[in-house]
Amino acid sequence: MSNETVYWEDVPEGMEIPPFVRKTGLMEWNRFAAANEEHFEYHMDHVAGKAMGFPNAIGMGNLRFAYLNNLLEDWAGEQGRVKVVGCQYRGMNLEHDTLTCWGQVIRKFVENGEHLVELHIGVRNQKGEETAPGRGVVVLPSREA
Amino acid sequence: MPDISEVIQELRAQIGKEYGHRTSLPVDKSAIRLWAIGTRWPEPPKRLYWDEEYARKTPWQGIIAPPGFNPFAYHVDEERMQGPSTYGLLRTGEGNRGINAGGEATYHAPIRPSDVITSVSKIVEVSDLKTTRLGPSVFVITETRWTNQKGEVVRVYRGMGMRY
Repeated sequence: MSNETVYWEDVPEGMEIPPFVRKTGLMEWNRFAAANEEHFEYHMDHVAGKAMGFPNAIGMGNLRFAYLNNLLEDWAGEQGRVKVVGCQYRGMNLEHDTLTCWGQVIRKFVENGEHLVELHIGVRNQKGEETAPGRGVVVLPSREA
Repeated sequence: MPDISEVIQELRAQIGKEYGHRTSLPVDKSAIRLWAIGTRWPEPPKRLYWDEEYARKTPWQGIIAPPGFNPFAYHVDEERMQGPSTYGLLRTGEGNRGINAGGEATYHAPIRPSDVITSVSKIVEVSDLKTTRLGPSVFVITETRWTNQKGEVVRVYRGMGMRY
């Protein structure tokens, strides 16, 4: 987590932002289930996950979505804000996966007075498989403002 | 047993009609803190989400909920889940099983403690019949809009579901 303010003017297109990384398993899933009231047996119980054909319990898509929020939020800082976060669920989050949420700047623009940065984002597992590709937009502070 | 083309017809007939109205209970600071912990553990939650004194000095001028916070967990004040969300779900068989294929949230006004959030959804698009790994399938795009007690838009979510 960085506390340094990132200004819109200082961000080049193509730049990769610092990743947000989590190793996930029952400890992470149960804590998220408690926050989101997302208590499904296949997220909490290995027997239920195995019954669905997975090696063990599986993680929530919503948790990966929340991690993508964190990725952008950490970068934008408290002087900026997250405006858009989205992803498609393409792969599962299995137990002990190390998820790396990544982002790369694809466009900078100004709209309605807001200094905006659009990014490709996603969630890769430790095998390098992209499990949740998507898009984000953040508002950054401007040196002109 | 209905086949998926019937389900597609039913879903298309509902495009643009509102369904799934929900109103939250007033958002509690503890729920915000719990969300901040549950989405960031094992790192500690950010001070903005639990320390009022700290949060007052930020541009937000007080505690806000993290983007993505769900104000509808653990009971809602009013729940009238009617309309297309129930289409097909009361039956079994083709077109009535669903998976969450993804979505995109646009955040507007932040959620603050004591806010009361109202949610309403509509179907915006229903694909033609597709064949996926799971068999005959259809993709449904829905839009869910959250507003606060002042009528400000808080979040608009475009979700993509797949039925098969």
